[in-house]
Amino acid sequence: MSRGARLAIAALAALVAFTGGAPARADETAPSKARFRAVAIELEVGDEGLAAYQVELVVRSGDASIVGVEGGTAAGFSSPPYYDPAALRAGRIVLAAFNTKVSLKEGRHRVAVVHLREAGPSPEYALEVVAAAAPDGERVQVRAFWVDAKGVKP
Amino acid sequence: MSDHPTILELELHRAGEADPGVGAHVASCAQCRAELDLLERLAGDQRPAIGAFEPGAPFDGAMASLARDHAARVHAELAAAGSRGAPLRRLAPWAAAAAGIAIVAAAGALWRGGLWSAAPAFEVPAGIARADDVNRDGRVDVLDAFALARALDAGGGRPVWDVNRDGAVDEGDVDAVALAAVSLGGGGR
Repeated sequence: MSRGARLAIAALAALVAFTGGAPARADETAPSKARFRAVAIELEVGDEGLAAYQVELVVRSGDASIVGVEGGTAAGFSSPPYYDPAALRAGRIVLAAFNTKVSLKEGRHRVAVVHLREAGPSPEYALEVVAAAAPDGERVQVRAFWVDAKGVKP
Repeated sequence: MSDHPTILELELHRAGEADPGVGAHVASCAQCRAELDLLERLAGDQRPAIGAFEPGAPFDGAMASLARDHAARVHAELAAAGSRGAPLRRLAPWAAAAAGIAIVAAAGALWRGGLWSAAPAFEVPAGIARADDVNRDGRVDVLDAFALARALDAGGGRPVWDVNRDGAVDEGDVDAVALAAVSLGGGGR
């Protein structure tokens, strides 16, 4: 083997030892581990009562998508609300439900549960009330909250 | 002289605008029910050409007022003819059909601003309300579906609320309005 060839092999071996041979840091190569969580959407209803609502949930930042929707625990609102199936696996969803027979009295009521898939740093969300109506059909103001294992976030 | 309502009164009845007496007569008169069915079919045939057209309240009111005035004139003419001993014959079915088409066509022309554009007797709304904007607030949201559901519970339901075009105003239309409200593709506005 010529001297040049030996030098080339030695240089290649040194390069491999310096880079590929060294253990890689986990956060450089491992994909972010996905996690799932459910958040409950609650509405704070005034003395007019509530018979219809529409809210919009948007992923403002981070890696998150909506993977499922359930009804809430409030009487008359335990069935899944209306939503666009295209919202699943997306970062925005509009939920709506109403009941002509049963209305929610003053207080705080859980009307829906949204299942989320998250990855990486904690995503940020925005929850907005689009419309709400009293049993007589009149538009009313309500406040929306979501609740997860970490507590209440307006 | 005939006691049957005129074709315009039948059209008003079809649109839910006639006096209660017209409805009572139609309920007991097979001939008038047949003509009402004909008007309904004619209106249904016009819908695909006009689209989901829902006039605003001022427009609707003006049309109803015109029809009432015309019906009153026809009544007066019939009464005058009857007093002269020469009763007018009831409009033939083909005339009823022509009147129905004329009414719907006039509504369509007005909708497009083709008539009275120089000196409108009322202000035509800038944006024609969508059929699924049940409460006419300019946007489609859950309140529209709720309003339609309440109307159905109360036994009402206007033909224009046949949002899914299946020939009936029912729960399917409520679902269609609600799904439009939550659509991410801009169903509401």
